[in-house]
Amino acid sequence: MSVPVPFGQYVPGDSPVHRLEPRVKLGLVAAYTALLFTVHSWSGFAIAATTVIIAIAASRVPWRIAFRGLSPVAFLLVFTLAANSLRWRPSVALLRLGPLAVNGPGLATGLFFVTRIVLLVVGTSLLTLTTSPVALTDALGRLMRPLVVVRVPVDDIATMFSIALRFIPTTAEEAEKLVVAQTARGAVFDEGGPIRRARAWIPVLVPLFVNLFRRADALAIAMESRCYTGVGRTRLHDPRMRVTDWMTLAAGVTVAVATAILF
Amino acid sequence: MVLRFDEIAYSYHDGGLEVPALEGVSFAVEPGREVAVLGANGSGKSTLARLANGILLPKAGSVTVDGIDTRDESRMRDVRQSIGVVFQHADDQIVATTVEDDVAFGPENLGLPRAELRSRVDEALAAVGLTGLERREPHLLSGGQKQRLAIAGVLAMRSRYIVLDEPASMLDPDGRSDVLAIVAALRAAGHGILHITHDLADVADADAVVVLHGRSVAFLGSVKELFARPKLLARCGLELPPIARLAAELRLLGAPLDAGVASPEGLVEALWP
Amino acid sequence: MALILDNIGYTYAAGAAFSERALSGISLAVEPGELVLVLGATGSGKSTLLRIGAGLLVADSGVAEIDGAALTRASARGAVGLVFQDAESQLFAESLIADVAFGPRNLGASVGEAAGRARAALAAVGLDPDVFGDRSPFGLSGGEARRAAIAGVLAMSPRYVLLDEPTAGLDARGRASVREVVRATRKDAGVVVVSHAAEEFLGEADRVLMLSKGGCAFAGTAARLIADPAPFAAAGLVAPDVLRFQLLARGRERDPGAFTLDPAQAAANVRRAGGWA
Repeated sequence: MSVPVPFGQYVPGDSPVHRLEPRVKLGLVAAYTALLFTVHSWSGFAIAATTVIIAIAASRVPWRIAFRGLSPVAFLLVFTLAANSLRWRPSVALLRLGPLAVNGPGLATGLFFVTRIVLLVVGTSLLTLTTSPVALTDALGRLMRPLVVVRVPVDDIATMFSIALRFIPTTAEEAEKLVVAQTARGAVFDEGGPIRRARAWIPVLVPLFVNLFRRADALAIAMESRCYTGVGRTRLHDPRMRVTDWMTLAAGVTVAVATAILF
Repeated sequence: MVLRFDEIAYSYHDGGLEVPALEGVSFAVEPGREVAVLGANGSGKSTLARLANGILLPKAGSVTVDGIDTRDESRMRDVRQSIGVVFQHADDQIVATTVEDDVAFGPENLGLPRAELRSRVDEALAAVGLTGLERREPHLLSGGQKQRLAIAGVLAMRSRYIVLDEPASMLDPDGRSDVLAIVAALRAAGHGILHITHDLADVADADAVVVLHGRSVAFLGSVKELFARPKLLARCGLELPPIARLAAELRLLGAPLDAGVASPEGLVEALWP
Repeated sequence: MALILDNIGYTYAAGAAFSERALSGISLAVEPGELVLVLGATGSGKSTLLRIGAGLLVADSGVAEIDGAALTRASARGAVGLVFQDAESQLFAESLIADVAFGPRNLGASVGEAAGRARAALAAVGLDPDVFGDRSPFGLSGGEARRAAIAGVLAMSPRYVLLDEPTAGLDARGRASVREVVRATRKDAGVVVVSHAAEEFLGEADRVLMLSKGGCAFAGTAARLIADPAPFAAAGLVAPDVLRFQLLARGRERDPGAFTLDPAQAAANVRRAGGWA
């Protein structure tokens, strides 16, 4: 049975944003985040918003999906706005709702913070929407490369990340199989208090872990058999920074720095 | 050039006890030939696979690969490169997140340049019929495809000898016949094959058979000779495939059949040419 | 008394982009004492059918009944036992007794009663409870672990037992021991065995259901399928070698008469039909 395992929120595509080297995307997201926390004016946000809107349009990710990241933070947005703008029986107010009232300057501050969160969430989620988890971890591994100098086992860490990603879907499938198998033996997972519910997972988790350890053992032997030592590896894919990557990075960082200074 | 097991013995440690797994086992695999190792579960078959490439080292006797002793640590990389091992559960030997990255894993470990990696990957995938699935994630492959991917990973190392530890036992009939066809093609291409299995139907074409029973070699000879010894097979916990039993019955009835013919087509050709 | 699936249809993720028609128009009935063999290639819908039969999935169309009542997760609980492929991977407890007693405990049996049923179930699969009862489930041979997992299902005293590829991956002894367990189980329960290898159970099955891409390629008695193995090829499966030999012999004008799975009988029949050149 092949039930697709939903994994991450990557939307496969072949847009200029998708094709951008993941290290560049990581760099741009870092610059963008720093910018959002340095600007103090609406004009700064307007520039940030314009950049994000252009990026979303270029990525051809559907708008609905591009903004989907906001739904988990919806409560935070409402709370931020309310906490900043509502006052209890103030003397001056923009709008009164019984004893509660909306304070003008408070509302402005609230909107400012809300805008910052919205821009942050939408901008950063564009990274995971247009970059596969594999490419992303690969890029993180490459950015860590200079740490070899201080004896961080960068190759081993990169291999570890790759193996973890490789086995997430396999393990998810196995867990699903075990849940169904123990259900067939009369196990119930959704009844009783928290302790009983936690205990109900033992018959799933024990074999899952036993299997993972057995598999780790077998995998280690298989890797050794294929000459893995953790050093001196070359890579089939070693994406080079192309001219467009450098240009995009330079343009993005310039805009961010200029906006931060000017606004 | 030969992969040679010479009077090897091996034992496991289990809670302070020495549990013997293999004793006095000798045989050799030459390039272009397939040697089958048969035995019931617990006969020491899988230990043999791990001894072949120096993952385990024999307690007595020696394993040599083209003259290199697997105990020679300075030559470990040469040994592992010359001997590719395909394990029973392909899922436990696939390391990377895409098909092509997995095939490249071994050659990457050898530090080969990228152009060389590319050509080896393409060649190996073509040899196992997975061309076109380069970017596929391994968990989306069928059981047979995963096992073929594992074989491709070994081929990309250009191993002269290929050890297969029950490569078909977990597969459905289609996956199984695909894998067995690839094994036959590898032998024809000059690889020495060591095929470990408990299923006699898998090894009808092997050049020689080693039967392991109670930690040692109970039989060493041709498939033909083995199929003619049902009592030995029963004692070793092995079962003649029904079609081989049919052939044996026909021979008892006086049919002019070679022992070793073990397919319906082969029987019909021999009986009514 | 019967477990009845009538004209069953099922679609995975109905309505979604990747929805997949897994079964259509499939009927299967089994009574206590019967063995029904379900054959089909990978992806033919065998496992889906088993999950529906065990009340774990609800069919989109058709009727599912158990002993006259509607088949639901509740009515199947304890009454239908499902043994998964690689069943040994679900063993989890510190001892075999505790593991096998898991099912009866879930059904509300007292500790003592569940242990008693676990001992009986272990004995029924040929694992002496005095020898194996306190052993860890993680140190068993392949055949022993598989049988222990089957005992975990039998301990719930199901009236129907469904097994998915029960002999896959085992050596000759392990396969023989599991076949023995299936033979013993069908004495009291209705048994459905799903397999892609026909040789293993065709000889003892009462009826056979053959699936091909979710549809029915053959439904009838095992005797009828042995007499005319043509549906195997139609369903993309390979008929047992001994049957294929008899088909080929008939093609060479040596009609062995009624086909048989028994190699000795087949050899004798071919000789009687004119022997060899």
